[in-house]
This record gives sequence, C-alpha cells and structure tokens, in this order.
Amino acid sequence: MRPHTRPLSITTMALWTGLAVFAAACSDSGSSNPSSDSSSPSSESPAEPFSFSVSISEPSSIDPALTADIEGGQITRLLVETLVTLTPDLQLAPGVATEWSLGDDGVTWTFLLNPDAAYSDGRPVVAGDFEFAFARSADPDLAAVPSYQGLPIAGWADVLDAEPSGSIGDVPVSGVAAVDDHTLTVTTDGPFALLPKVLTYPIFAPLPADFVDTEESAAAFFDQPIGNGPYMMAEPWQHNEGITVVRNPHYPGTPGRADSIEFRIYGDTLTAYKDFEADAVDIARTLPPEAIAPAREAYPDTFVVTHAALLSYIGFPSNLAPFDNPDIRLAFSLAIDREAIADRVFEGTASPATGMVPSLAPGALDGVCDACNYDPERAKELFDGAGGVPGNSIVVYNISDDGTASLDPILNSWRELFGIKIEVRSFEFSQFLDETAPGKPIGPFELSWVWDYPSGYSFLSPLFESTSGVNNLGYADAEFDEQMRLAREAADEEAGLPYLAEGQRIVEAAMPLAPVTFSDDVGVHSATLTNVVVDAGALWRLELVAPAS
Amino acid sequence: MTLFVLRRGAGAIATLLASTMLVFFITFALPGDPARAIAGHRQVTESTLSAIRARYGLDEPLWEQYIGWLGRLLRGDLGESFVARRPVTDMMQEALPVTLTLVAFTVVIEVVLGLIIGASAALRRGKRSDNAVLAACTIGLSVPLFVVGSLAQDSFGIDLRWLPVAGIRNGFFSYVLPALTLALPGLAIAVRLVRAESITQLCAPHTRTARGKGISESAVLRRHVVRNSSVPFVSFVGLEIGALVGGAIVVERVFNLPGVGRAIAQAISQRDNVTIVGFTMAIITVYLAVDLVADLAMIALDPRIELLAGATHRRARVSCGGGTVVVGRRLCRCTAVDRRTVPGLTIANRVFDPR
Repeated sequence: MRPHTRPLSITTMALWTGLAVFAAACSDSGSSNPSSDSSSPSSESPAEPFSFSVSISEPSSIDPALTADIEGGQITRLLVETLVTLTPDLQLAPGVATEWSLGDDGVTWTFLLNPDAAYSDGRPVVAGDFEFAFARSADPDLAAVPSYQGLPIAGWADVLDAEPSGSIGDVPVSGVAAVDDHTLTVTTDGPFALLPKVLTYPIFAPLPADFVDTEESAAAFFDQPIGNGPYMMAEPWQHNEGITVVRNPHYPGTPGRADSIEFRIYGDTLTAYKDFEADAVDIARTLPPEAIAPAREAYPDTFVVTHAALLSYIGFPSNLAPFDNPDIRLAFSLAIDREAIADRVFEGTASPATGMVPSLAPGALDGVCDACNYDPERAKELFDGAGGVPGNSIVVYNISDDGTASLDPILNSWRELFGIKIEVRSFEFSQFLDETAPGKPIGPFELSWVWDYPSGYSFLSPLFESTSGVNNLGYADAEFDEQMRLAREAADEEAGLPYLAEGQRIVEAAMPLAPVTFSDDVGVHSATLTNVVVDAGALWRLELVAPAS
Repeated sequence: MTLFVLRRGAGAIATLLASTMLVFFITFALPGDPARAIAGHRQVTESTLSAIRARYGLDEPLWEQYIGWLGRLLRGDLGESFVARRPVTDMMQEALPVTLTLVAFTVVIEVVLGLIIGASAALRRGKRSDNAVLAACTIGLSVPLFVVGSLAQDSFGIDLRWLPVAGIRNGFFSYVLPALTLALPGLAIAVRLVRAESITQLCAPHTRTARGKGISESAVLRRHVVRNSSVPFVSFVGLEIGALVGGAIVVERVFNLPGVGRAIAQAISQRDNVTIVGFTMAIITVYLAVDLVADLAMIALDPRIELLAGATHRRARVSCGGGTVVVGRRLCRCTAVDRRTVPGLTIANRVFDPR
C-alpha cells in the first residue's frame, strides 16, 4: 500500500465548510459511516503471492476472433498465444511455433509447433486447431470485424465473401493446412513478407472446434475463453465490473510474474485515475488530459508515457479541385502548428507528427516530411501561388463525438493565414464515416489511423494504396503502389524496408494528408510495482510486471 | 379501485408501446450506418459489413425491424447488443439492480432527511437556521452533479479514505457517495416542499384546534402536520423515482456504477440501437409503475381524494371538496375546497414560495 501523505485538498476543505453550514441549519451534526475496507489496494504487499489490479474499459469482446479494440486485446493477448508473438520492442518471437520458414515458391509458410503447447485445461494444441480457428475467424456467420486481417491468406476472401451458411467455422480456408499435429502450412495469395507479423493478431490463435460447437459452449466461451496463453480466466467475465486472470499452469513458455491480474472495468478514465489515487487500483491506464499534469506531479517516479502508433491527420480529397493541386495541400499542411496543438490541446498526450508513419514503426523515416513543419510564410506563398481556393471558402468535416478542440487551432490558422471562409460540417462518428467514404468528401476531414501490426506498411498501404478499401483520399500513384508491391513481395520484412522508405518519400512529397500528431499512451502505476512496460502498440505487457521489492 | 388500476395499467401499456415505437424509429432512422459504426475506421470489407447487417436484421425495412423487435419482445427477448454481442435482457439484469439500488438509497436519503430538515426548518421559521437551510437548498439545486460527485470523491474517497471512490465492489458502502450526490437536488426540493407544507399545516385551523384540545406538541406534529404535509411529498417522491432512474447517467459515470444510465450512455456513443431501445423501455416501465403506485399512495393518505370508478373518460376524475375536476393523467389533490392544483404545480408553488 502506498503511504497516504496527501494533505486535505482545498476541495475537501470547501466541502467541509459547506457541510458545516448545512449541519448548523439542521441543528444536527452529520454522522459518518465507518470506513469500509475499500481503501485497501488489491496488492497488499509485494510478498508472495503476487497480484495486482489494472484499469480497463469494457472490452467489446474477449473472444480472440472478435477482439477488435485495444481493451479486448489487453486481455486476449494474455489468454491466447499465436503462432508467432511480439516482444515488448515489437520484434518477432516464437509463440506456439518454434520455427517458421518460407518455401521456395515464396507463398507457402511452414510453422513447426511446440509439442508442449497446451490449453489451460491441459489439452495439447495441435495444428488442426489452427485450421478451425482460421475458418471460424473468416466465417461471415461470425461477422467478425477484424476478419479482414486474414485477406493475404489464400482462400480467406472466398470464405469471407460467401453467403452465411448458418454454421460457424464449417468452411475451411484453403490456404491453411495441418500437415500433421505439429506442422502447419499457411499459403498466401501472393508473396507477402509480413505474414508472420499479421499472424500475431489474436484472431489467428488456436481453437479446437468442440470448445464452441454448441450454443451453450459458445456462450460460455464468449464470457470465459479457454486459451493457450500465459494466463487463464479465473471466472467468467463480470461485465462492466471486472475480469480476473490467473497464471496458466499448462503454459510452456515463460510464466507471467503475477499469480493473478484483476482488470477493473471503468466507464470513465478520470474515475479510474481517482480510484488509483484512493489506492483501490494499482495501474491506471490511459489518463485523461485533465489528470496528466496532476499525475505527473504526484507520481513522478511511476508516471508512464509511451509513444503509441496512432496517427491523427487531416485528409484532403486529392482528386478534387483545389486539393488536386499539391501546392495547396502543402500550403494547408505547412500552416498547422503541430507543436502548439500537442502541447496546448493534448497537454502532453501527443507528439507533433513528423511524417506519415510514427517514428517507432519499422520502416519509418524521420526528417523527410518537409511539409510537416510549421512555416506560415511559405504556406501563404504556396497558397497564393496556386491561386487560392475557389470562392475563397472550403468545407471541413469534423467528428462531433470529440468536439472541435483539436480542429479549432488548425481552422483558425487557415482562416487567419489564407483569409478563407470555412464551413465546418460535424457528424457523429458512424455518419462521419459514411460522409467521408472514398469518393464522397469535398473538403479536408479529420481522422486517425492505428496500425494493425508493427510495420510502416500497416500505415502506408491502407491509407494510400490505390486499391485499399479505406483510401478515402482519392490518392492514386502508380509509383507508390509499385513500392508497396515490392515491400510485400520482398524476401523478408528487412528486405522490404527500402521500399517502404521510398513509398513514404513519395507520399510525403505529395501530402494527400496532413499528419498532425502521434498519440502517446499515458498512465501511472503504484510504487509497489516495477517493470511496468508498455509497447508501441499501446499494449501494457502485464505478464512482465513484478513487485517493486 | 380495481377498475382504476386496470384502466391505468392499460394506459401504461399503450404509453409504453407508443414511446418504444417513437424511440425505435428515431434511433434506427438516425443517419449513419450502424454496421459501419460497429466496424469503425478499419479495412473491414463490404462482405463483413453485409454480414453484420444480416446478423442484426439491419438490411430489412425499418418497420419490419420494429415488428420483429415487438415479436421478440412478447417472448421476453429484447435482441442482441450490436457491440457487446450479448442479449440485452442479460445486460439489463445486470444493470437494473444497480440503478434501482442507487435510486432506493437516494430516495431514502431524500425522504428521511427531507422530512427531518424540512419540518425542523418550518419549526424555526424565519430564524438563522431556517435561512441557512434555504440557502443550502439553493446551492444544492444549482451545483451540477458531476461537480458534487467529484468533490465527494476527492474528499471522502481520496483525502479521508472513508468511502470507496468507484465501483460496486464494497456493497453498501459503494452506494453511499453516489446516493448522497444524486440525492442533493431532490433533497433540496424535498426540504423546501416539506417546510412550506408544514408551515401551512402549522397555521391551519385544525392544528390550532388540536393544540387547544391539549394534545401534546409531538402528537400534533406527527398526526396533523407531518401527515397532512406528506401528500404532495408522496407525489414528489413518485415523480422523483422515475426521474432518478433515467437521470442517474452522470452519477453512474462519475462513480463507475454499472447501471442503466451508464449502459445507455455507452450505447448511445456506440450507436448500439437495440440496447438504447431496450433500456429506454425499461426506464419508461419503471416510471409508469412508480407513477401508478404514487397515485394509489396519495389516495390512501388523503381520503378527500376519491375516484369516480364509473368514469368513462380516459383521464382520472377526482372529487375535490365540493367539486369534481379532470386533471389529466394525474390525480388532483385538494388541500381546500378552493385549492385544486395538480401535485406538480403544488410542488412548484411550494418550492418557489417558501413563505
């Protein structure tokens, strides 16, 4: 337990003063309830057994095939282990597969499975479990949002695009084959060097068919998935309250340090931080902006800032006038004071964007994005040189859910510098996505993008490639597409990096979008804990957390 | 009485159906594709979007979706949450007890403290303590709940460590701060209401007569003042319970209570339409039930209110002293022959006319 040394706050004193007035009025002094044991933190001491608690939002799902958000990923990555995993510094490492190799045909990957791999109920993991798990994740009957992850695998799209059959996992993915119990092959449609990284996503975790073959077992699995990861569920998910995981005794890899981890579910990150201040939770993940400065001051030694791979940007409809003129796009980008936005709006929870790809992503280049710097004079020069914008006005699309705090400084800068009128169209998120779908926006729009797997490719290809389903920039460049093809078809990820770099140079010269910030993940943990690591995918590596002493 | 209850029950069902239809059509007809909202800004394929729409029937015409929803409702099935992929009834079974517990604690605080403080202030009418009560009531009505909740957390949870800051892990103690916070505005109204009614009753001829007969002051207060003051108070409590069930969103969010308010707020932000409709229906049901119980309680408390069981008008009729008035769905309360006001107006009069 952290020592309680805080003096009474001004708010407490103010409250007491108010209560005193009220009590005087009632001629009846207020009685107080005795304290509960609520002030005790969950980890009594770092002595054995070791456990701790961590804040989380209600995940949309903890079924590995349905895990589409970071909150769900935080749980499922403890419950399941994929063929290949990622180290905290996001390097590939063996998971269920001890070895993997790419065949001479350039499209067939062979994975040799660890014979000791087992589920938390002791049952061994076999290659056939991957066949079923892949078929289930791709099945339209499951309608899993992250199912697009498997599109590079041969036959995946055929399953995904088929009519629902009414049964989940009944149509195999042709590119996945169990050679024997401990050998699995995965074939891609074309050469794809990044497949091992794609396969680190939880939807590719093993799953025996009989874990979910009846309505009852599927419902039970939804709330208490059985997996092969370092931890297992101690009890079913207590929705909106908490999830507790304990160490999986059958896990063959390095066991998690804590005996158990309790995820406490909060509807609001500020409340989670207050619970942390009250010693009721040991780790408060993702602090809200208003808690950043107080937390940094109160807990300087346990304040955690991690650069996360989330890019916030202003997209331009690059095939529509006046944004089809690269000088106009450059001018609008040069007029954005990114440092001011990061400091004043995000209060330290974001860094100024230095390019299209966060610098921590493999393949990212720093210092090549000339138009990412704030240069109002050059911006004005380019704007005037390009003849301004028709009617001296533009339309800007805003996501209404998060207000306009981050957009306002940008719009004000554009208004003042270029003397233009700006019509802001605000939409609730789902409508915003409709309004800014490819080919629809007629002006700049705010959006953000986070990688699916740690590679610059996971930014560049979806955002800018002409064939991408989410390229709503109207941007198409044959040379860029060629660089992406070469990166995909390189012998391995390392060999593909020069192509990613060249692709980044191409788009940063064209600026079909103006990068604004790279978001950071900010949290704080109890002084009783050490080795609290957050990777660049914003995943808290809780299996590594240890007692401070 | 039975006929009255049956008529009110039928009216409640009609109200429920009409309001659910309204909420359903408004929610589902909002612009924006719920399937796309579920998918977010990902590379999700059109086939996956189609599969999501098919799974939740979103590809059917709106009226067919509503008929389907009504059909399932008759079987006790409120559908599956688009986001959580769980039956809405399961979500409701988890959330409703939390909110009802919070509301119960809140109402107890409002009733007990409202009666004690209100009656005490009336007895000290015009004195410094009475003025302090009125000032405190004004503050209680005007300070936003999230400010009060946040101050309470900082003070009693973080600084003093007396009570838990968030969640429901600590049973009874988990509800103390949220209930006190939620009770504040209602308590302020209750205190002023009881105070004003008590002042009226203290000066009333029947109270003077009781005192003149030598009845002890405590008995006068108990039998004549408090009892007669409680009729509009009961009506207020009925309205308050309904309002609290729907209005606990802020407090549930601040104190992390997994109740109805938090579920609705979350569903709205995620465009989880079926959850919005299901939970809204639950709130309306509670409101209508409490409304009926409050009316019956008023009849029990004040014999001067009598029902014309034979009335064929959809509105309830009541007899007020020498006259009969129709006062909409609500029953009339008559404190005197010439004062025929609906309880809501009575409450408003009392609150804003402290006398």
